[in-house]
Amino acid sequence: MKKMHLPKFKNDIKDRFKGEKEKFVKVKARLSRALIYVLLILLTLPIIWFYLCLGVQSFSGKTLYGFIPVSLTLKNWRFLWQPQTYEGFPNIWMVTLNTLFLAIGVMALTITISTMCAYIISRYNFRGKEFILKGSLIIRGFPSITLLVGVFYLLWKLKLINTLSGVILVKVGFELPFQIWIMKGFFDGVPWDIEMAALMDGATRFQTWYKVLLPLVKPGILALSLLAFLSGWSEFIYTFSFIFQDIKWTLSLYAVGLIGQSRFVDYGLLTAVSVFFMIPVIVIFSVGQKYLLQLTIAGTKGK
Amino acid sequence: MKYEEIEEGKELSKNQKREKLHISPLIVFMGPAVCILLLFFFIPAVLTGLLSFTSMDENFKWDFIGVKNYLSIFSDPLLRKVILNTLIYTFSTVIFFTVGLATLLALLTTNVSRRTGNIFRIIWLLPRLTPPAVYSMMLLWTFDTTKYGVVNSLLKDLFGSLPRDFIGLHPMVVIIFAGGFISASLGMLVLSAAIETIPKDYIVAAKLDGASGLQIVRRIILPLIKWPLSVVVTFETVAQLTNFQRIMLITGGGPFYATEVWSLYTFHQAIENFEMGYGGALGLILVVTSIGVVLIYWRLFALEKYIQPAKVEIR
Repeated sequence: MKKMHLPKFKNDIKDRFKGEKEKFVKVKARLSRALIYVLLILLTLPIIWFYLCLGVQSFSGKTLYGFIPVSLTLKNWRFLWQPQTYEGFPNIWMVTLNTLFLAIGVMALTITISTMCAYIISRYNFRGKEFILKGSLIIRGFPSITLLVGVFYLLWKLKLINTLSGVILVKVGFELPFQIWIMKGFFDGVPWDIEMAALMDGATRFQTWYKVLLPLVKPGILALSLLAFLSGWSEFIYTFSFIFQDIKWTLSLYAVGLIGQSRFVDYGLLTAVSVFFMIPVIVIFSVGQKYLLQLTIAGTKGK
Repeated sequence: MKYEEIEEGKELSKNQKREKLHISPLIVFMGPAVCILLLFFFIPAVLTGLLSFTSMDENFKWDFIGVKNYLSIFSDPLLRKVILNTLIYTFSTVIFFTVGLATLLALLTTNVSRRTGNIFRIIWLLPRLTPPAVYSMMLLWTFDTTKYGVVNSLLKDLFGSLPRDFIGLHPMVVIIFAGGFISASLGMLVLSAAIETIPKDYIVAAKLDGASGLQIVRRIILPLIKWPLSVVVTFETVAQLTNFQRIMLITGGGPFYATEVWSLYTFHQAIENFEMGYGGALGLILVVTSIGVVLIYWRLFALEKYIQPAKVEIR
């Protein structure tokens, strides 16, 4: 590069000016960075505060400012070892088992059915495929809850009202379109050649699906299973509408029952039940967050 | 069902030809999904439609009364209040939270390091994953009127002020915040994912040309995330129109119907008062409205342009 021949003093001024400008830019960048952090923390603070209060309150009698425990106690958790303390409330362990049954039922059914269906939609061209795809997208935004009336009548006719299996089936029906849509995306990502090789080697369609493709879409299956489990676990509106006996209660109904019934509200107990209710959420959250974040990314791409 | 084999690879293997003659895998694989969807989605939809023309109550008798239910909706004294509440609730949550807060959060979390951004995103995912029963209970506890409520106890400890009845005074504001946080959490995830897919070159180029941060946001980022934003807005509008669980648990539509939105009103009529015919009619109007909303947005945002066969990547 050719050296510039500028008078010395001019160069000096230029350098000094440049230095000043760089400094100014740096300070500005640092300021805006700090501003971003401050804003983010301020916006997120309510959420952190809520969950902090919830956790702290469940283990303490009295608190200062809501999150500094004055005295620690396990009294709030006594519903776990003295299930009969609360009149009119079923045993918490039975309620937990019911909830588990519901969640696992929803998970197993949706995953099995959606992986099968999504495989076909991803791999075959048949009449009405476009329609099914668009339809499932619209159904996703469809007010499932407005069908409550029809579902109520149907369950009553099928003698499934007031049973958890009825709730599972209804829930599966509403979860399926979304699950199929996402699952299809995962199948689309698997190259055709792998499957072709298996078919050439004499595997049947079913074997190919089961032994070759399913292992390849494992991340998708895992993420969707977590979501399906959570949605079954925290289901409220269907159990509230279709379950009448307290021996079939789920944790949602238990928690809501506590708010409704306790005339002198015991927030220690309520928070303890809530934390107990949230254990799977927290576990899935800490183990599966990687998959869940990935899912939302995958789910929005390429629409 | 008829199908044309295979998108790629024109020659069929022997195996596949044989298979085509036997039971088609289409039926085996699609069967369960079709059955479940027919039974628990389409039949209830048809049933709701039929029920809306009857006066069915707890006796489950089919008495067709024509359009009487629809006529009585129009003379319902609560109609105006309910419609107004629905509009206020839906549009405030969507405008302030789905669009406003979610976009802001997405921009902020993509402007810090990836790790920090992810931590904030995960925290914002929490309300959405929290069971509605717990979420609502927490809000009730937060705004409890007695000194045991979180906010009231904090105010008392800090300023020694008397407990206030937040939910009673501003019920609409409370439920808008309750629904808004959930809605913003989804919006933020989708939008921040979209922002991250924007090629860095655009932003670097703009910076070199001397664009300020706000200009980059307005001229580059916002136009590029228009599509995911409009999808989120469409979905969330319908979701807010029809999701009433949290409102039901927090205010129950009260006080004095101040927060009774259309979907909650449907639920109260159909399931709690057992007026299944009337509830069905209300529900059907809601279905038609939300389909209408989707179609309007479809036109407004020209969503058609973007619809391509779905392709999702495994990362």
